[in-house]
Amino acid sequence: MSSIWVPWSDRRKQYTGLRGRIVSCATAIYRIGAPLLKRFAPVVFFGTVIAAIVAIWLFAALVMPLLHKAGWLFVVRDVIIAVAVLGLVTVLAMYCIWWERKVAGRIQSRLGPMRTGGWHGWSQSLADGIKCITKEDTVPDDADHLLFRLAPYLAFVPPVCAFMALPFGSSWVFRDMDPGLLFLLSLLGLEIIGILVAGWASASKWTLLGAMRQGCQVISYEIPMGMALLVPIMCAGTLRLTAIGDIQSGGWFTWLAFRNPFTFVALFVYFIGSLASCKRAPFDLPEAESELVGGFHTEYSGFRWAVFFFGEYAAMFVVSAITTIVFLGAWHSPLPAEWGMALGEGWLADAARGVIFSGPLWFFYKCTWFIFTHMWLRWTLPRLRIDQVLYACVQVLLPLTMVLLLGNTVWELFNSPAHPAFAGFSTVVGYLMGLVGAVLLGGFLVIAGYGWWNRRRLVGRMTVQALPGA
Amino acid sequence: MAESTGLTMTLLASAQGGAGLAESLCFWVLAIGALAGAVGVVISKEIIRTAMCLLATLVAMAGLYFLLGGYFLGAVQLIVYAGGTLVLIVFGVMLTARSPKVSFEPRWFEMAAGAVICAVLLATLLHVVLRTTWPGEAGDVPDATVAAIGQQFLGDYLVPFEAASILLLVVMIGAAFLARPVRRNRRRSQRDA
Amino acid sequence: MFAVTLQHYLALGAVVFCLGVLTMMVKRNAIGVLIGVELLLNAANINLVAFNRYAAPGALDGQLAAIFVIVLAAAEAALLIAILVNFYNNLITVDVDQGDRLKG
Repeated sequence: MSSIWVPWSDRRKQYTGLRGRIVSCATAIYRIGAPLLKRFAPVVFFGTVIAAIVAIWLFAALVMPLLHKAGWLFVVRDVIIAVAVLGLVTVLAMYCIWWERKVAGRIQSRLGPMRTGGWHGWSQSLADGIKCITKEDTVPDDADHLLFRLAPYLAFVPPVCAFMALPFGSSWVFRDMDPGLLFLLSLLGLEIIGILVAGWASASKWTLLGAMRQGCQVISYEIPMGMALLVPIMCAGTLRLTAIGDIQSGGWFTWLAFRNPFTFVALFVYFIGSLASCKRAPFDLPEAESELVGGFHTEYSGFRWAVFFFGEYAAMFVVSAITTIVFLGAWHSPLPAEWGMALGEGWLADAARGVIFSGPLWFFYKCTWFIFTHMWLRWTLPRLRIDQVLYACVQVLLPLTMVLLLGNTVWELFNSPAHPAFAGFSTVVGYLMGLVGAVLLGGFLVIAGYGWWNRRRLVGRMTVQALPGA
Repeated sequence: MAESTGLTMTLLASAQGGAGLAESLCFWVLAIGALAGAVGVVISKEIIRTAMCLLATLVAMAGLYFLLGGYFLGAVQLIVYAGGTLVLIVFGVMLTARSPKVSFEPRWFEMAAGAVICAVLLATLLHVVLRTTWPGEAGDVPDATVAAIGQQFLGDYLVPFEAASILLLVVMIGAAFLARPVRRNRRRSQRDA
Repeated sequence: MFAVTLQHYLALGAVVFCLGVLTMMVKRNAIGVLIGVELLLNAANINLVAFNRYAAPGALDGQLAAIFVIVLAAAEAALLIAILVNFYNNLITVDVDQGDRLKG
């Protein structure tokens, strides 16, 4: 770089060649499409949803029978499903980004994005995405160029691959693997490498510090997470995710979280571990804006930064999905699934069963509830120091999980027909835990309802005022 | 969309039309990935790039284990090797690096001697591998469910299992002791600066 | 080359093994030597699992042996990194050519 001062307009990088053509195409599309989208936003949204449903139905109706004729077509089917998973992850991440800003706003007594796209700023993440794509692509001079470019994808790909093994319903799974849960855990552990490489390849001591803190934190919390997952797995007896879901089909008191007190505590231990694993507050030291500028992603701008955050939200979804499947009844509603048999036969009854009793909608609902809890905790709790983080992991959660494992082993050993007294006791405790869960949920609903009913009085008026100069 | 792994592997292993093609395609892609990673390990000059090439080899090997029917083994490889050992290696690199640009290059005669020795070794091994007629025929993919592996661990392989756990305990204590922070020039008080 | 036989896997294992030996011989950075060791162990593992699949499909011995190899490799890598940290603390370098303090 020259040491003579050159005006910024002359130093600004002009994209040439193929990149220039892509950028000018994207800008032209934006200039035409953005006003159209803003004008017809509800039509576009519902049209997309309906088109997606129709596409899935056509795919299932037309492509699947073809598979029985030519075996090699399953490669095509798998490629289509992989691309669809990628699209799902992207849409999910964009929705989560918007939702996070709205949740953050509401917790901080403000409204969040309100302007972009009209209704409650629904296209804020779309606008953010376009901004990220059109930003200048900076790579530090001292950075390891190949690894700097590779690192965001190393962090993004494992959570997306985890969607392969995630069951959204009893038969809504891409690959139902026997060690399915272990596969998911292994992919979540692969994310660390992307972030370590990002911190190293940025050639900056702050990014290196952030990356090492994150590696330390995620690795430490993998232990209580894995052991806390072992507790309900011991009750379920299998690592196959669809089988774990099928066990919990009898109503909310058969959910593995409410089976005995040890699994109930294991749910909370796993949830805390998942907060640390996704680097969410209060464990967001690797991204501490007030200390490390940006942590491991300080030197990343534009699309590479966006890829990191797509990976983070995908990992949040996967971790919430594991919590839901293993602890909270997967895709089943709180009502017992056998009550759904009373609805009868036919596709309408099947659809009603899917909506009311067990189906992917319930799975999505519970996953998003956990994601909401992640966001809720992020904007409520202050950040922990690194020594507090490690203290919590090694001196609190680890002994706690060992106690839980021991207790659960003893409980499950005696909870067999050979010990009828204990079996009766454990059934009673199971129902009691279910009652505890219902009471907690009821309490949450009551408090949330009270807050919503009296929101004007509690918070005051939140108005959308015109910006100065508008 | 409910495809059990057994059905998939039957499709892959049977001689139906192009189904065997998928298995060999997967094998070649993964094998070339593993080889590219291994070659990258040899020829890369910076140690962090060597570690990344090792990551490529490890992930390709995990894919090969999945192809060979060892699903549990592949998941263990990803967790322990790629997510544990490799992270340890990267931490070791970060703790012991002077600067990202300093790298130790071997001298040319070292490379030449190494290449000759390894070429001889490779020729011997390949000769043995390709000329021998191996016994046994390829049956179905082994039924390597987690339950079966667990029963083997607690049945036939109980002694190695327990020995491995004791070994891991000893290694954990030993490594923690060996890598303890050693304070040199401890100041007894603020006066002895 | 439609059918993938045992020999393909064994050949792959042989090549990765030799590349691992080359890495161990040639790298001057101690961590490079460790990475070579990991390559060796991976090559051995692929041999074990390939034999399990092709020569003894009913049993699981190959996969269990591979699991033990992975466990031992992790333990050995941990110890090696600990030793390396000590080496670095004493010699301020990880160049294995500088590790000649015990030379007569």
